[in-house]
Amino acid sequence: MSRDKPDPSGPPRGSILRSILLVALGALGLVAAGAAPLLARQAALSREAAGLGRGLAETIQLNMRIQQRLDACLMALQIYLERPGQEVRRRFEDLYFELGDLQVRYGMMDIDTDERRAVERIRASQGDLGLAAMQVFESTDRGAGDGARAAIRKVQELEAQLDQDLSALSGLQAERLNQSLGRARQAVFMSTLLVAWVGICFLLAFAALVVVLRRRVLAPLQDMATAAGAIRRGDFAGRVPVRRQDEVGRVATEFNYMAAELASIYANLERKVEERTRALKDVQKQLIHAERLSAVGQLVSGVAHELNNPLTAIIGFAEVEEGSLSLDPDRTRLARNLGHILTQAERCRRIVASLLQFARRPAPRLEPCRLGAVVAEALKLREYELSTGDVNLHADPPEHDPVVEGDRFKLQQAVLILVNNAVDAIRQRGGPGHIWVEVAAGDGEAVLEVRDDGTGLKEAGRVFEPFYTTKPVGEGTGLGLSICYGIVEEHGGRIVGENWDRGARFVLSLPQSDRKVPREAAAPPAEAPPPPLHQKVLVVDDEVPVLDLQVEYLSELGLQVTGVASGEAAITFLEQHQVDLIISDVRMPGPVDGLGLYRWVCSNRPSLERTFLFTSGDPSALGTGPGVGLPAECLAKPYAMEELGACVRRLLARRVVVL
Amino acid sequence: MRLMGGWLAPVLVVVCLLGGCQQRPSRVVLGVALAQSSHPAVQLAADEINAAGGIDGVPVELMGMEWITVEEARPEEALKWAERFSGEEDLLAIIGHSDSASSLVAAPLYNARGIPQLVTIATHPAITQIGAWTYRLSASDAYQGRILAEYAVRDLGARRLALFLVNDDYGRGLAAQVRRQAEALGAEVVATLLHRNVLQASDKEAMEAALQRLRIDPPDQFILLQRIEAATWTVRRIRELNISSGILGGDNLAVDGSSDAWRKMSAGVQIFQVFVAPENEAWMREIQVRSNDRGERRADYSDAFAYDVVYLAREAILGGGFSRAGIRAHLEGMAAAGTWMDGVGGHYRFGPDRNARREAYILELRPDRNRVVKVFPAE
Repeated sequence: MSRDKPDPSGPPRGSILRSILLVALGALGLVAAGAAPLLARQAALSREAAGLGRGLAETIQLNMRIQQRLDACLMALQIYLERPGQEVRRRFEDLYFELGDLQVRYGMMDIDTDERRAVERIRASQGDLGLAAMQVFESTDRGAGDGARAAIRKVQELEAQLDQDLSALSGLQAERLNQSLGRARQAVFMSTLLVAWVGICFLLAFAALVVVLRRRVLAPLQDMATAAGAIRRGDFAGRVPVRRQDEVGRVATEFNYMAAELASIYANLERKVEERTRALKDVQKQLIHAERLSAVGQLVSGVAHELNNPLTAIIGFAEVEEGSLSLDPDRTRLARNLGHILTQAERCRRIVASLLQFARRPAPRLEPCRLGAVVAEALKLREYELSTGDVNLHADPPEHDPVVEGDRFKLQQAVLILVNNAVDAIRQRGGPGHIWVEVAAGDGEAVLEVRDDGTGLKEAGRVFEPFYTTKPVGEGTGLGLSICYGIVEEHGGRIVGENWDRGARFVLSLPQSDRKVPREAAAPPAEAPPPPLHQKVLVVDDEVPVLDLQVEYLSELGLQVTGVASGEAAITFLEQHQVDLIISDVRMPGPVDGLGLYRWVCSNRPSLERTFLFTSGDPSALGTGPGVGLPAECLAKPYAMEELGACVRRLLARRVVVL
Repeated sequence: MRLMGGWLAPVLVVVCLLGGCQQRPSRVVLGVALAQSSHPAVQLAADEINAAGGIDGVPVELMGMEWITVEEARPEEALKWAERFSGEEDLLAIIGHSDSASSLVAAPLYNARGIPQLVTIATHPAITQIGAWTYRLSASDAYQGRILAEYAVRDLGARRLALFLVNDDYGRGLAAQVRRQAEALGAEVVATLLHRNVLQASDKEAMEAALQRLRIDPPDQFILLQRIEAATWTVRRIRELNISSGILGGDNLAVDGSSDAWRKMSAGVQIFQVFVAPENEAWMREIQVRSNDRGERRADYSDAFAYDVVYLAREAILGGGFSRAGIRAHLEGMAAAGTWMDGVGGHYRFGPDRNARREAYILELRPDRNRVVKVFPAE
């Protein structure tokens, strides 16, 4: 299948991942573009706030310490006025020097110019305080009360000034604190703006992502779901539109290819189902046909059973009477009439025999055999007859004679049926004709084709039905091709009848075998004339005419024959007499039928087991084998007296050998 | 990468060239925040440098020479000039201030704005503690106070001390150090007297009262942490009152006020000093010539350090480049490496506290030539 299929290992064009990354990058770009100035402004405000607030606590603490020291200084001066002494003065000096050290620390702090000016004013007042204190000390030491009081007033003025300066410094610091808080508030506002901007960017990115996913993923997936649903409902024409060659587009492409392949597979499957259905219908037709034939066979079996016994009697008596009357020239007409009876009865017998053969269908004895050789043997049986008539037989031996698993006699029968059918068709047309017989091997099958240039088949579909015939009344039983069909079926083959340009053609196909053909057995030597018989024979049959016919015919052969009409009578006789051979009908009324008699013989006269002959007009009783048929040899009714004689001789010969 | 390598190198070269142009300005401005008496030394050094081609070809300009300072420190004035100096774009460093009070006021601003400050003779310990941009060529009061107290108590055997001090950061800071060290050594401060930088009647009255009291019960040693004018009055009154106590002074008394009165009055007074004036040095003669308008003034340690600090600035610019940060980085490197500098004020190096380490002396003042009584090696 030639397809313009994209390479799955290659990178997809217009990747969804790339689109998502682009969206993310775009969002990041938006965030960065908006956040950068906000962050810069926030950082600047934070720095300003931090700068304004930096050291503020330390500065305020320093203010407080200075204030404490100043208060202590003033307290020392007050004490000195009341109780002058070096200890108080030293205390003041210590505090004063400490104040100087504390004042210096302002220089190490991060304060602005206004505050520094305030500090310098405090420092100057503090210096003046020291000088005023010196005057207090010296005036007091000198006892100059006026000077001391003036100095104290100066000190108090300075104290007030210092309080004012310190308040001013505190005010500046409070203002700085307010500014710091203001900057901090602005920084917080910037942070809020930043968060809002990031949120907006996130929402925009999310919306863009939703659009991308909806267009690039969800919509194609919906298309695929719709197409899949159509395929599930058997509509293989549905396809997914491929808009892009991204990941989902590639999935859609593969889906379309899969749908196309599914359609192809489904079409092939339907074709195969149709073929198999057709084949099943054919088989069904064959089964119906076979069932029909089987039903006909059962019917025939019943009919034959009812016909055989009277036919046996008719034929037998006719034969007896014909033999005795042929010696009397004056009864020629009676003999001729009896001949006619015999002829017609014989015809009935053949019909019944054919019916039985059709109905019985004994299992073929399959063995490897060459189909060409089997066909040649069968043709030899008709070779002379055909050569003297108007029919030309064309049968060349095959180059490669195929081996089949078959019953050569049944196969020969099938060949003869086909050849006879061809001969009849040629004769029905009139004038000389030709029959072509060809054997060939091919495709695991051995094929036999029989063609003629006769009248052809009027209804090719019915030629294998029983009793279907186009021959004149009395010339065909209508069972030949049915028997042929049954033989081929038993061999696992098939046969087809059809017309060709010049007449009819039958093609018989059998499966070839890969087994080797055993060597042909040597032909048996010619039989010697049968010797006269003298043994004792017991004949058992509930049909009295048939019983009498057998007794009479066997007696003529020199045998000592006794006839009884039931199994019980036979047992009674056998308990009192010795016999060499027992001939018994299978079906008999009463408690002891043929089989019961056989079992009694096996138990009580086992020496007669090998010389026990069944006769039966019931096809279902024929055949031998444990549990399925009769345990001893059986002669089917109607039979010719010669057949009975030959069978009796064979069994008695077995008896002789045993003895 | 090859593409980047292809254009990156030329760009870097251009940037470096442009940077080089920016690092070499058309002028170098130094802010001068010194007493007017030190201006001739600063100007002399700048003139010498410019005469020699400037700093790497860039002429040195001095800013603030019109600032006529008086002896009394005025912090408001110092703040104003500090703001003005900070506004000068080409200014690379500040020289000064002369006194501790002004230095303590201005140093926070310089440190906040990243301007190197090279202090000459202001000695308050807190000056160099304000920030890393401030260096000092003289010793701090912590060192001077310890030397004065140890010398008075251990070398002179004084047990009773009287402190006269100017009521500013210099006097208070140094007095606190001396008092703490002396008391730690077992001595007693029996009198502490403060006065204004420029003596007023009330100051003299208080000082007189104190001296009258001390005449009755004199201390072993007077320690004068004053400036020349107040010290002249104090020493004169001590002499007039025939108080036999010894007189020991701080480094400020080494300033030659070109006053014969002080020169005669101070004979026998011992002072702390980190500079011994050489004889007949060319730079001293030049300063003397340039100071003619103020009489026959002899160059002292303030002149020497003012002269040296200009050369220190030159050295730092040459080493660190024409930038404030470069100057600071160079000075930090010098302090870390303990690099010795050689100036007219003597050998010195910066310690990790950014204060100079140099020899210290106890000098006995004489009308003709001061005598070195004791030498304290540089730490």
